[in-house]
Amino acid sequence: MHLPIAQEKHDSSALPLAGALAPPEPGDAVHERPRHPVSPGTLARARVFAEGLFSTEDGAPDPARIEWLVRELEDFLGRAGGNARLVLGACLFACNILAPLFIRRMPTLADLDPESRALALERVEQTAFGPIALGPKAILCMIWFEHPDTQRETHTEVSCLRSPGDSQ
Amino acid sequence: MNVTSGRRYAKPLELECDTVVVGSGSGGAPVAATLAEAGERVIVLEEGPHVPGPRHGAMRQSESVRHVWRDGAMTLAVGIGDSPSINVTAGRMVGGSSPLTGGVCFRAPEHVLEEWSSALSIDDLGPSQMQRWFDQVAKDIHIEDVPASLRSKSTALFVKGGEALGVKFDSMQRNTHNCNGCGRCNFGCPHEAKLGVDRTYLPRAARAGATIVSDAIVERVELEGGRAVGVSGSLLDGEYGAARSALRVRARRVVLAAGAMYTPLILRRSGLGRRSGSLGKNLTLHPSFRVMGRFDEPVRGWEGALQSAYSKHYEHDGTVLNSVFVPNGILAATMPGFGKHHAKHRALVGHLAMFGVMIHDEGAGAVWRVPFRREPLLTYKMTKRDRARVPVVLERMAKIFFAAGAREVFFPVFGLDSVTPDTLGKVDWSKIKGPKLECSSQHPLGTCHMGSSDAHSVVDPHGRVWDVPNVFVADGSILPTSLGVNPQWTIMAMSLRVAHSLAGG
Repeated sequence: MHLPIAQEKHDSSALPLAGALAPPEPGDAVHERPRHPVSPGTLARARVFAEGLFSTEDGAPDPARIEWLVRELEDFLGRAGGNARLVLGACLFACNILAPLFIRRMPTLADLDPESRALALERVEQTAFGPIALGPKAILCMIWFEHPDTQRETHTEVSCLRSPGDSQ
Repeated sequence: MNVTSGRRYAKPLELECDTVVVGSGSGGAPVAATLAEAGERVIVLEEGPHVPGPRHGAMRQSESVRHVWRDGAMTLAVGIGDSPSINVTAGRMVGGSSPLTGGVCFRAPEHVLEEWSSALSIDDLGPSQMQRWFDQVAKDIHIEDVPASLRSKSTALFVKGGEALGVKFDSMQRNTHNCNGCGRCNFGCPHEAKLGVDRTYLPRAARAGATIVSDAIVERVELEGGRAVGVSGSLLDGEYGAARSALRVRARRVVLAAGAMYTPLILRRSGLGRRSGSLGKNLTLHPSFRVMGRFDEPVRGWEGALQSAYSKHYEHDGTVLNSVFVPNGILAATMPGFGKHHAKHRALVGHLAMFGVMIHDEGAGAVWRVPFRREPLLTYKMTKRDRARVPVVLERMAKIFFAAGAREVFFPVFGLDSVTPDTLGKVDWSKIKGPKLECSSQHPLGTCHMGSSDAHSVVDPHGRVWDVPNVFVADGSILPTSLGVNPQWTIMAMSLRVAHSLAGG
């Protein structure tokens, strides 16, 4: 099968060459590229999941940090590719529906308080369905630990890493 | 400017050259450099973006994952039967996975090369014949020992425990220069101390006149009269980086180096490589597991070289112990629990040491083409021999951590709480099924494997696809069997061998 070849032809020798690998042209840096929209449903389910995951003895986590986490996740999924959106979206959807059943509650994770969500997700993790909880848990934990407050609380400040936003 | 972005071209693009290399990683880059330096007009096509080292090194870990890791690190090889599902991570950028490795370099073990040369009757793959290619790569990418002073405390504790039990460890070798052990190799080296192909072979190729086109995806090899006349695909210049404009490169020779997950898909779409029926099969992954030990004292395992020591003490059992560390968030995620239970574990992160184990697996996976999707479906069925090794080696690692003074050990089992020296013997491994094991891989290999006959292999001993005279494969997919050690050095050596054969040297 042959693709239609267009009007505009370039000889490879006409392309810019030479020297060590130079930086991309302005506007082509990856963080400046437009990101794919992420469904509000996926983000809402991620928020529900995160509130359960990061709840403590003191109750639900700080709403501002959850808001930061969800914004970061939106950027993550908007850039990580269709497969990532599909996999993580499916995992969050499945957890939202399935997890309450493990503690004999209905209908969704969002209808439970954070402590019950944590209990329900923990039960999922202990079964053969564990991998569907691990996907969102891994991505959310990775981002969570990049927040300076988390690093302070857990004594995990990383000398080589800059603060969120510095790479922008 | 010597990397041109496919995003620049809003209209279809047609190029012409002597050799088009599909993929810019450890397989494609040595070929591009060799042929460009031999005077050929070379074009390298790379699906991912160009992210220069300093910019990559300034990213947070999750930024690196979202921008340059394939599928945001969520590629999964679906486990069949009692096999774990395996998270397979790879790079998608100029340089392929090379800028994301821990830099670990192992020569292919002698017994593996001997098997290739004798059992598979490929004479010049023997240890003495391959020596020159390994030596050349070592020089090209500056392979050096990791000094013990760069070891993280996490590694040092495990080594101490191992040595107390008579397990011998050695220093790893890596492709680095002036590494200060800041421990974030997998997310871009902030000091440009890691000499991946983006710092070595690709600049050499560019200096010799090669053109590197990023954000350009190849879908098939174009054929005319039984010969390849080039490749076709798309420029990723559409909305949000989607494919839009057509790309065609006419060339007198095609070298596929898209890796073991994607090269078989390109061949399959092109109707090539199917004679033996083994295209896309024989996938080996080096399934890897991580065990964590919790110590009373702070460990801060992220400080020090990410990977620095290994042990082949259990090589006879098909396992190699490798030092490793992961981002703290991932480390926390692999610990059991949610909510307050997990919060207790999160607080321990700074006190955790970690070590990894890699299984020298038998080819039991496959890469499948999914209709209407560009990404493949991976499946993996761990053989009984490999599956039986998992609990044995995990217990050995727990004992090593306890010998080093760990208070508790966390196994890579979903939802399983920690074990102590007293409870280690009570873990009933027969009840822990494969799907409950947390397993990862960075080494997909073997899906277009090399052989001496078209009846049982995809490429000939020179990397040529059996059914067409001018299409070659030069990446991890041509390795006839798994290695049992990190493969980048072997992939580069095999690619150099293919390249020099093409250049007539």
